[in-house]
Amino acid sequence: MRAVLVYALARLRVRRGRVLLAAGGIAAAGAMLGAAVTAAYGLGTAFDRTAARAQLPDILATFQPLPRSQVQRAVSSLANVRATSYRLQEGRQFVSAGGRSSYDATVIGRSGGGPRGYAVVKGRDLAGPRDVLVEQGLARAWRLRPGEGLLVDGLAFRIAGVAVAPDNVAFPLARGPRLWTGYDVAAQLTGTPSGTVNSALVWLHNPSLVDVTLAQARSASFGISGLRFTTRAGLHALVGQAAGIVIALLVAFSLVAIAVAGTMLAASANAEVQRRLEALGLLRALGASPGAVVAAGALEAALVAVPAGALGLVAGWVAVSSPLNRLLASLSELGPGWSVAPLLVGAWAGLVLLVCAASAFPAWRATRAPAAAALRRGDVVGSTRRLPGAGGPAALGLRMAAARPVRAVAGTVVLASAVVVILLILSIATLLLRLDSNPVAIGKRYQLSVSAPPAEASRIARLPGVQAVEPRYDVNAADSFQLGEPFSLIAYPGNHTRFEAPALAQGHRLRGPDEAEVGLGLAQILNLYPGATLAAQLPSGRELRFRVAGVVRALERQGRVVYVQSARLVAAEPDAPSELAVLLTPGASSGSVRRELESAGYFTSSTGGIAGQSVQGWASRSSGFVGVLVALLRAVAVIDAVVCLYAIAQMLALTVWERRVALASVRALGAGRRQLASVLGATAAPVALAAILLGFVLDRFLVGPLVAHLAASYATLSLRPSAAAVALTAAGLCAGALVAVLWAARLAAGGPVVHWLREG
Amino acid sequence: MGVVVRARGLVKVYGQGRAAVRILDGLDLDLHAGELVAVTGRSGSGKSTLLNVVGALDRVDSGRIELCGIRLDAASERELAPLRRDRIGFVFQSFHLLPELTGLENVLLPTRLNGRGPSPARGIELVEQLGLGAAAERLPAVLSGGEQQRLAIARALVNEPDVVLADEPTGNLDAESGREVLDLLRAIADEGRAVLLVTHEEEATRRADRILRLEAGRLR
Repeated sequence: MRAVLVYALARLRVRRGRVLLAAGGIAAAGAMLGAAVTAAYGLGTAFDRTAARAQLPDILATFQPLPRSQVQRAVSSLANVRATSYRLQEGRQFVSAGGRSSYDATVIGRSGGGPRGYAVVKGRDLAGPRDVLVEQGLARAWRLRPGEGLLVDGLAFRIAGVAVAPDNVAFPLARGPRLWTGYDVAAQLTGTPSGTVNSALVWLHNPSLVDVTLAQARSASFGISGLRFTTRAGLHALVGQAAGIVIALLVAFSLVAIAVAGTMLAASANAEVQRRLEALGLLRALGASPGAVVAAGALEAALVAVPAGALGLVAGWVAVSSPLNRLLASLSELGPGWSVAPLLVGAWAGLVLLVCAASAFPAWRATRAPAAAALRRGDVVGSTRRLPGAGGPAALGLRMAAARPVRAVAGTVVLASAVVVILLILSIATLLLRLDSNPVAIGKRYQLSVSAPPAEASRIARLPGVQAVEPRYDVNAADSFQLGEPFSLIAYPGNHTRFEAPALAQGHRLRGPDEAEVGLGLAQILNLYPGATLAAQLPSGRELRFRVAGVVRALERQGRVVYVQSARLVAAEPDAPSELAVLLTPGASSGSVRRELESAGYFTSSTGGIAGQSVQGWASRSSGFVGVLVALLRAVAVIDAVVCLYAIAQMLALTVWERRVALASVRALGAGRRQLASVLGATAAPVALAAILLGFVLDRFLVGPLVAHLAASYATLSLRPSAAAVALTAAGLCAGALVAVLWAARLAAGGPVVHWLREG
Repeated sequence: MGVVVRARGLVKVYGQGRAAVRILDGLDLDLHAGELVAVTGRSGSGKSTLLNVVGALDRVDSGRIELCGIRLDAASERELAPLRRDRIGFVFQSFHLLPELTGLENVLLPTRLNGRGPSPARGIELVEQLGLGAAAERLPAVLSGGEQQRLAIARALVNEPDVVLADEPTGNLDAESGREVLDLLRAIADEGRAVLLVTHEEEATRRADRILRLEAGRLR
């Protein structure tokens, strides 16, 4: 065994070029793996990780300001309560620092002890009366640091630290920034009598019994007006509305990328050991046992994979960490930091094991065949099968590919995987852009929203280019039975399908004021089905009950929407927020109608997609966010294309190496680089073409629908690649194959013919 | 008869520094059309090296070598490829038939490398002439050594080269097959081509017009 180790080290020392090439391939796949693992873990666990660090409560109750003692009495009557904390929080405060300002800041003062409900990520916690904690989003946007000054409503504060609380998205995604101060200061700033609070944070002994506690809380809340409960799950859903679909798509894509990286690693390692068959045959001829030969194959692979894999994983982690942290920071969530390290170490161990196994397998196969076969240096021994074709360079290349069917299939699978990833990325990018800008993509048929009271509808309907106008009510409600499950109650006076009509998954469209169409996302959570009853608690505390007529595949707010007719809603909630939905006549210009409306004094906005609808006004405060994400995805597609090029080049390099005697013979007969390129091109062409076809079929019928389902089971997401994307991918792969063929032909034509001929 | 190959002062060195071996050391050679020249010598004396540099398969370190007046030592790889295809026919000891192609396809391969399309008539004629009709449609793996070598000779002749270079062509054959191959080479020379034969077999030297012995890097 010691001799085998010495031999493996000696080979690595001598064949530095080959070792570096193999290490490059492993590092590239490792980088893909590292990036995918970091992204999948970081995005998938961000909320829970941040919630744990910030000691996010199991229940957040908000209400009209009340003396703390009164609220304490109600809370103390509840069972299962582990800890409580009280706050006074007030929005619309003016804050300024470093020449920037906002009128929409929320000041939060913590009353008494108990857990904090936020995590200090920089600096220290509050200590003095003029200390303030700023949320991470504000610190990033305004470049604030602990120790600097800040004014709130004219009062000077010193920034003690930077905090994160995942109970809302971060500024500037959220309309205003959040600041934490001492209770007395908050009371002073908001002009509230001392001792009053307007929110309670509750931590439970057994969080799984949260519904029981909420039911108790409702009965114990007599005298507390404007009471609303939000559970930790509800907060997760609310925050998830901002970028839930984006994150879900990225996580699903990362899972696919991990599988593809594994396939590429295995194929790369297998190809590498094919080059060493001669050396393995020699070991056998010298008397090495089959076990030692397999160990030699695995050991040599491990010696390359251990450092290269580590380097690649670290590179992938570094590459993805910064954009990942920025994305999470915008959602008030923390990056994975060092918590991803054990997973990366596990991925590294898995990578090394995979490479060793993929290397040991062909070595093991080599021990099953006569040693002479391995010593023949891998050149293909004549086949007894005849294949059609004229027998020229191209036919020779085709037959060379056919002589190694397993390799051709493996090459096809690897390239097809890369094609799937590229098509998937392009489809996701296209989908995000459509969701961001095209109302139809999220089931909306109206093009413009106008901030105006319902009475203005008839006036706007008379404007040229306008087909129909109706008030659209959008109220944040919660399920009366499971108070932690918030949703949007969307109402039109008449038939809502004229203005927005997500696809019907079950049941029928609503026909009367007592019926509702429920989004599939909400139906899954609340176990709703046609004929079931939905009890919606409105912001005023009043309750409306509807019979579920149908379930729709709404993408908006992760499917947590309910469509009803507006009459009962307006009666129960006279101040329900509304806007006017404007449907344009076919062919009318959205821009000209918008100008017309604005000249008439109306404020309009495009209906938009996820950006416009997921979080109120998100689009206006995050312009370019989707654009940056799309650019990032396209950059990943380019990296994948490079990996694809590497895979083709490696396959051809292996063919050149294995068939070097045959190629040298062809050169001796007068073939130049062009003819060699014909031979190698014909070897690569069937693999590339089959990969394009297989990749398209896999993406279209398996991976695309799978990712769409993983990302949003509550809606129908179309991740079908466009014709342009398929054409672009096919053209890119063909161009990459051509580059690889020319490179391989150069390799095959390099040096005197006799060098390789001598080995025959 | 005109000179087909003219070599002057050929030097080929293997290895570097103190381990360097001058395998060809100022070698001169003239090879005329219509003559069969046999080169003999001990193993490692440089016979195959000589054949390789004359056949444009390898390069010399110094010296001048011409094929039909064309300098090989100064030609680029791009210039050498058509010379190998059209002017030189090579016969290898281990045949080097491509295992994926049938006998006839192997014979016709050089004609398909010029990009002008194959001219099968000459190939079929050669195959028939060499008695390889049955072998023509079969793959090399199922052919005997003698059949394979005769196919290799047919392949070497298919583009009507000026010189045929044969490196131990009978080395892997039985006596009967070897005799057939040597008769063929003699016939090729008699047709007016130059044939350079590397061998260590007496049977082969008996058919040669000239016998040259390679010693200490030079022909004697």
